[in-house]
Amino acid sequence: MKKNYNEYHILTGIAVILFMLILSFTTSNPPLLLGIFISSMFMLITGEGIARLKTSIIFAAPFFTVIFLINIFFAPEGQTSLFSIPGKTFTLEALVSSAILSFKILLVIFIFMLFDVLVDSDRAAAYFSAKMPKSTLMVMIGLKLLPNMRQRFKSLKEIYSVRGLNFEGKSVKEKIKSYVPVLSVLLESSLDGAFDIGEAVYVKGFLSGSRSIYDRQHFKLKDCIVLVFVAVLSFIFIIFKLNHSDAFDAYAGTYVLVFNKNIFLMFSAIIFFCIIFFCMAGETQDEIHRHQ
Amino acid sequence: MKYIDINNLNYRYPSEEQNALSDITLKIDKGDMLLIAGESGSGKSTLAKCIAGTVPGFYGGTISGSILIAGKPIKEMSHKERSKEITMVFQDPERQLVMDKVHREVAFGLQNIGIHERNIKRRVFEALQFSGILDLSNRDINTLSGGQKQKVALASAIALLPGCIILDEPTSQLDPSSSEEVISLAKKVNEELGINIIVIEQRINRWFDSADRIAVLKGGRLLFCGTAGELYESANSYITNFLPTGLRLSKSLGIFKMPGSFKENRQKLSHFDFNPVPVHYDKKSKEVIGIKNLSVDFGSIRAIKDIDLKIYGGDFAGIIGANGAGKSTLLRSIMGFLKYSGSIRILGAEACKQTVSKIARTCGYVSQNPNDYISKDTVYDELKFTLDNYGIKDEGIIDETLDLLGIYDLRNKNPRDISGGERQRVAIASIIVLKPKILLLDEPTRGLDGNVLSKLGCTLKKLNGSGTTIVLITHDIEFAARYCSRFVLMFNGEIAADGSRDSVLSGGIYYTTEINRLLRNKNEHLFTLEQALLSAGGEHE
Repeated sequence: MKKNYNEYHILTGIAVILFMLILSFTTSNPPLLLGIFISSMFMLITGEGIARLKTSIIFAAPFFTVIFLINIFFAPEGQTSLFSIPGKTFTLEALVSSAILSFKILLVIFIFMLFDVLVDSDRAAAYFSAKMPKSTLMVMIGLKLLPNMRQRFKSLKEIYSVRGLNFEGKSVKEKIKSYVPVLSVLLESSLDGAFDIGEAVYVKGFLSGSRSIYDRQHFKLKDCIVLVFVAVLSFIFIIFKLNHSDAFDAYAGTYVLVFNKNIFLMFSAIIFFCIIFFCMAGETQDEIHRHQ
Repeated sequence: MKYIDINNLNYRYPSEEQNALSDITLKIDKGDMLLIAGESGSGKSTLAKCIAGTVPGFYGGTISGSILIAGKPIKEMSHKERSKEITMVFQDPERQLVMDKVHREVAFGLQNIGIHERNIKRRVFEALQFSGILDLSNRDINTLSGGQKQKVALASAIALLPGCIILDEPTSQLDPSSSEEVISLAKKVNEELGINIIVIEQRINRWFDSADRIAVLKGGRLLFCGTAGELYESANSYITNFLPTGLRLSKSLGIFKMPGSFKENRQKLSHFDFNPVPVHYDKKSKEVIGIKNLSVDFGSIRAIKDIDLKIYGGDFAGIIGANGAGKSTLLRSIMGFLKYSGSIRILGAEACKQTVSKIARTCGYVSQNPNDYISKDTVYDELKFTLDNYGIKDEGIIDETLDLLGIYDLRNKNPRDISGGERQRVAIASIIVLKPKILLLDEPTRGLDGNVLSKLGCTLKKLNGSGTTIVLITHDIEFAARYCSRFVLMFNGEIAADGSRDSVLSGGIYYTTEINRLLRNKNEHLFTLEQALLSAGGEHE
């Protein structure tokens, strides 16, 4: 049975995502990153199933590989030599540093995928359109257009390949030039689409005054528990940051700090938080109405 | 007091020199269903937008005259007041739904107009139940079909319980069966809830019986407004062209009083003799496309199931069938856009072993949306663009092509400034400038009005006459019956029937023309109005 993380208040979901993102951006400490990685993977699997995780990995794998290779090739520092090829020495420090950097990229991609699992876009739109309707409308139109644009881009490529455009040109310049007509048609039709959606919501009375609420979201006890947890973890992390307890520099040889007792406590707290978050979330219900 | 009272309405869009609407006076009773017909550019949608308040509220422009809704001038109504009273469903379902889940989309309008929290849920689910889509309430909108999306848009309008719902060509993007569902729902709303329905349509056949009154616009002016019977009796051919085909036949045959129903029309026509017409038999020439054991999969779904099909040189083949039958997939496979199993041979060469641009030299392809072919500043440049990409010098081919398609006058015009029908022909021109032997067209008739359809049909017939083999997908059986010589009927990725018009359409239950349904007891080989008129003999007792 899948977990329905959307049951949490919209702000709770956003707070969890922000906490994970900030941690991933601001630290390079492997146990902390591992804690976030395990938590996000666990939530992705329990919320959306293993298929979603596979998609995330397929999507993230090229980024991981490219970042890893670039870093290991262009960061020659370090003293522990692993092997050499003529004119180039590969060090253990560069390997560790590259692995951590690419792991962070992977983590950020996972967290963005997780956003869809924790935050229901309709509920977010309903919540924020009551607070800031104009900005929400703009975001809504933008989000609505993106999938359509992707679909249109594919069909336009087909049409323009029939008209003789070669999208696999030899040089970068040729490739860019071949995409110009496709992108110009795409831009025109997207602007038209945005205008039409704007007109449709105008007819439906959007921005005609104060809006009522369809599905009011209340902070429940479980939201409060999660938010307190996030606040405490953030506070501890700030203290660690100020004390440099999470410091990790592969080149300076400080990676021994990985084995810091405090960091292990923080790692355990993140995992514990993940379990609590999982246990308090409801289960996804099957649709209540039978198909006619 | 009339519910909607429009007096001397004039409107001009910003930066336009001519009025889009001139001197419109129209009165609509409470609870009426009004049908507004007219050719493209006649001002139908603009009139609807004036009533809904988006003109001039959303578009700007200059307006004069008055519109009163339930006795109150529309310009004195607040945005919220107007949205509660009048709402609108647009033609493209993709461009009017903003939320992800169905029930939230229905709630969206209710939230906007400030319906109290405790009433919203009831309205949402009652509207969904009324519309027969309660089972879709928790579905993601992007997983729905076009017809289902249009029903969601209509349910969102019903939930508001407005005084009037305007439907702007609500079925123009849908297949026939989805269209019928949307039409039935609109009729139910009008009959059971007493909500005024204003329908804007180019082809009004299916709405005709339910409308209390019909208005016809031409060049921004109201040419006619009256009952169906009055329209039938009109002497103006522009107006009577909007009659359903069956009624046009009875009027042409001199039946003075309009038959009240399809059944009555059939009974009245049974008094006429319809002489035998020459039956068209296939003349097979050389095979140009040979398809054998073709299957196409999208993930776990098999879109085309092991089909065999041969297209012969000089064929004008119409592919018909429900949405999801695999029609577009078939054409896209021929063009090499999709991976397939089996074999597709175009003039003897296997499609999957050629590049798309190589296939396009012998087999042109025009997709559904002619706007996709507009990327240059003149019609001439559009055609030149295709030639340049293939490294072909003009040497008069462009002018020859423009002339063949009857759009030479548009040569130096910006394609963005021409009508929808003309754009369709520019799209075709941008492909046939390569002089392909075969032309594949995916729903070229979508959203076109009667006059433009005739022009398109004649253009394609001319092309076919000059030696181009044509294969087109269409939901418009009347159009196909008029111009195609061969029919391929598809269901669920399989070919259910293939042959001449007589062999495929004469036994049709759903996929046949109105004329054939009316006259099949007298002569099962009649499909078009022209044929019926030619074969009609005298009336007998």
